[in-house]
Amino acid sequence: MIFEERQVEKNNFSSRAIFLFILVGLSFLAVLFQVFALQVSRYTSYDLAALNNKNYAVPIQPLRGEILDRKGHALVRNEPTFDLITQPDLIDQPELFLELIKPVIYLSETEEAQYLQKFKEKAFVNKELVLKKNLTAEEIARFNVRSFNFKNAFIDKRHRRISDYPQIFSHVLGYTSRSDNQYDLSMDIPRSHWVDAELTYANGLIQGKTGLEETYNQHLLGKHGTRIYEINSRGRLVKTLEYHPPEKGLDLQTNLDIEAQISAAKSLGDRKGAVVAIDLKSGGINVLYSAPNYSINKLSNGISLEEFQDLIQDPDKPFFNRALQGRYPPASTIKPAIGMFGLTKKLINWSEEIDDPGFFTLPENGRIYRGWKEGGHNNVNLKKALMVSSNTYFFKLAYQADMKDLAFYFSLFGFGNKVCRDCYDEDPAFVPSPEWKYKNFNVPWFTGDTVNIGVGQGYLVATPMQLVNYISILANKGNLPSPAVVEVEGQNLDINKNQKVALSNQDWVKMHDALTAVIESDFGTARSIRNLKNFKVAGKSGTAELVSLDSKEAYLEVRDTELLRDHSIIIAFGPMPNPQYAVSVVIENGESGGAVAGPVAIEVLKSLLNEQ
Amino acid sequence: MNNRSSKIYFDPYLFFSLFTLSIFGLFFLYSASNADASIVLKQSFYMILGFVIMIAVSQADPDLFRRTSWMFIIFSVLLLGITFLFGPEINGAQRWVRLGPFSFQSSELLKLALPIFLANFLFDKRLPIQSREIIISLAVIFIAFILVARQPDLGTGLIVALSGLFVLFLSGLSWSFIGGAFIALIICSPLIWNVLLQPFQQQRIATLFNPESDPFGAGWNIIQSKIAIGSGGIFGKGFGEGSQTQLNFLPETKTDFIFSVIGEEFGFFGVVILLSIYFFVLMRCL
Repeated sequence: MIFEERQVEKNNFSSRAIFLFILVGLSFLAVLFQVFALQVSRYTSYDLAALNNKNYAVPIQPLRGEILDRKGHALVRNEPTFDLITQPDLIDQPELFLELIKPVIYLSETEEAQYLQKFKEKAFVNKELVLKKNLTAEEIARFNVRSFNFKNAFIDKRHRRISDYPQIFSHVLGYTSRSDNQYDLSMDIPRSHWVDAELTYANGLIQGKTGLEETYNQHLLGKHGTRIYEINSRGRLVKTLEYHPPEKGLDLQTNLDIEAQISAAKSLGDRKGAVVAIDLKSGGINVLYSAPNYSINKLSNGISLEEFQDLIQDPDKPFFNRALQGRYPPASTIKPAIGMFGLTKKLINWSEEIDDPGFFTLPENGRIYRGWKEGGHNNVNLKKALMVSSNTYFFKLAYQADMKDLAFYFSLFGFGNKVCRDCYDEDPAFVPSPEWKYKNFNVPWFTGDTVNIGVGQGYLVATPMQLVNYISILANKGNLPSPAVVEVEGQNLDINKNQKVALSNQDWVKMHDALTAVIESDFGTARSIRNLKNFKVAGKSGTAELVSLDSKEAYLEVRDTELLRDHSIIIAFGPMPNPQYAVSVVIENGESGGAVAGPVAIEVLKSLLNEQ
Repeated sequence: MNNRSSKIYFDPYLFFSLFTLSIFGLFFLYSASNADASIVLKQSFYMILGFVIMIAVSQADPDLFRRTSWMFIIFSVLLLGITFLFGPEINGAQRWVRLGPFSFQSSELLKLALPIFLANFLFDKRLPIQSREIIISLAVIFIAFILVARQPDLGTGLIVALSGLFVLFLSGLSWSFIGGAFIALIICSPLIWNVLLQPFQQQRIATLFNPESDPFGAGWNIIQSKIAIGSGGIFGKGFGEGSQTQLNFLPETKTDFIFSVIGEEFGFFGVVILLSIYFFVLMRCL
């Protein structure tokens, strides 16, 4: 080979080598540039992504606050129960493990099957698995003696929400239930991690469903803690990196009174109805009772489907909160309000008398509206009309009223509105208006409709809550802070700032006097209860007709059907002359108001006044 | 040449940089294998074996390679044949051949055999190389490529082809030919994409450019690898402290993704040092 050719070849090779040198150099620079972009420019986001990969935060359930009565006694508390918890990743053969533990702890077939079903998954990711809930003391003792044999299992505390009065407070307290969508999204924990929450309650992540548990859920709930695990790519928990303990929820101080609620329940017995009582000074609700009821302990901690179906299908509707949702015609208990309306509108005064022949004839068409007493009460003024419950007097008064004015006056007492500040699912009930009637029945409002409302019948309906609110305003001479179950901080208790209805003091005194006579005088309609107590009580009873009938004979016929019998109602306050508490009682199909509902009201007042 | 046989031929720069790289490699391997000393021990054995072979081979007269290049390439092709006939199928591909306690990828040998063979073939030809030589060389390269690519192992096949093409390039393949081939490749690329590439290969290329399109499937490896490298920062998380590596978010840490391990635990700093050594080795060889 010629030297020149070699030289050309060599030059050619060198230039090509330099070209490759540059090419390789540029490739290295490109790689370095890309690595720089990843590690330096975008470090923060990749560092976060790496943390999100390995950090697995789970919430730790806090203990809910307790609910206390006005004396500080627990109405709902947290009762510890004990669960047997296993660590599946430490168990090689689950079937063998179950055989070993069965002599120690009773296991049903479903419990075994469920355990084996979930076993593999939990073992794979190093999570705990509950084998048996709610161990008996005997089982705990047996396990503790043999615990050295079971290094892969331990007993842990789980709570249940328990009330010592599960039935009588069921409607007002309400129940909790497990919630699959209870996330505290203000916490930096992704939704999907909540299934792995560390539980404090045997029933899982719970939240208030009804009653105070629902209304004050946030207050009672507390604050979730956090545990941050390190996990590997398969989701297996490796170790705990951080632990922030949960904060227990705040206790809820209510105005409820255990003894008074018990006496309401006892005296109502197995009859259907409702009792509500209010502390006149604060508007605090001391008694909120509805019967029949159900066990909140069962609802909160597990009830069989069968039992639940029975409750739902019960014709007496135990879930129905009669105290807040029952719509009852107020019947004669509305008469004081009609009388006050007449005084305010100057349609009547205290001394003016009318003749009560036992019925009222509507001038327009001669239609007869009957009183409860054949032959009537002869000459009646306002006091006597209230005392003997003269229908004729109030038919006549209502006849002179304009329905719009009357409806507005009712609303001052809270009728047609929600009156309780913090009650769960309160019904506003209903005050009719001419517009409403025309819209719904395509018929104009007749004077006869107003006449019916004068004795609390017809379209007007009210809840026991509204009835007690109304009588409390009467008892407090027109003033009342809004009723509330829980002590409201900053509630203005200055009487003058809470005026609902205005009337001269003289009129108020006379009104109290007349309502005291209903119970305490020889002729009062509710005189039958006057000897049940050692203090004086004012009030007004009522008998709500469910069917409109013209004669007593006709009623005796419908009476055979219990559900068509009249409702018995009383609203009362005492002790007179300086009342402290007011109460309303409705007993469904109880008939005669004073004699049936009256004793219940007296028992509750006695309990509240410690006059047993 | 005679004086060479009397002393050991030895390039201290190259040796030292390769040795440093290998020692680094052992360290990284220890971390990448979740502190598995046995793997590191095995690798150290291979490393020492490799160095012994390297020094031994470097003593030989270059003429020896010229003379034996025929045998070398035939041996490599034979091994590929044995792999095809007897090699175990792993992940749907026959790439490995077992020799006693060792197993290795037979295509690896071809990476060396092909360029040596071509260099020898073109050694005594006139320059610039004639079209006859080009056609023969390209044919040999193509056959080698096909043999490997049908295992199937497209990646190694391309590297084998490239190692041959580099020899052609250095031997003075005309620029116009290179340019023409390049343009032809671009024109044919839709055909290659649609006809020659399998769907899984198409998908692999697609996820390279857009890994977020399938973050838990095909894109997982790329995404996790980027997270590992990116979260290393400037100085890294420290030896054995990389969460992506240690908690197995990163796949194949001991092999394919060892670079991500280095990036995560030693950061940009470590990557620069590593690449510098590599660059030095390459430059030293050129």
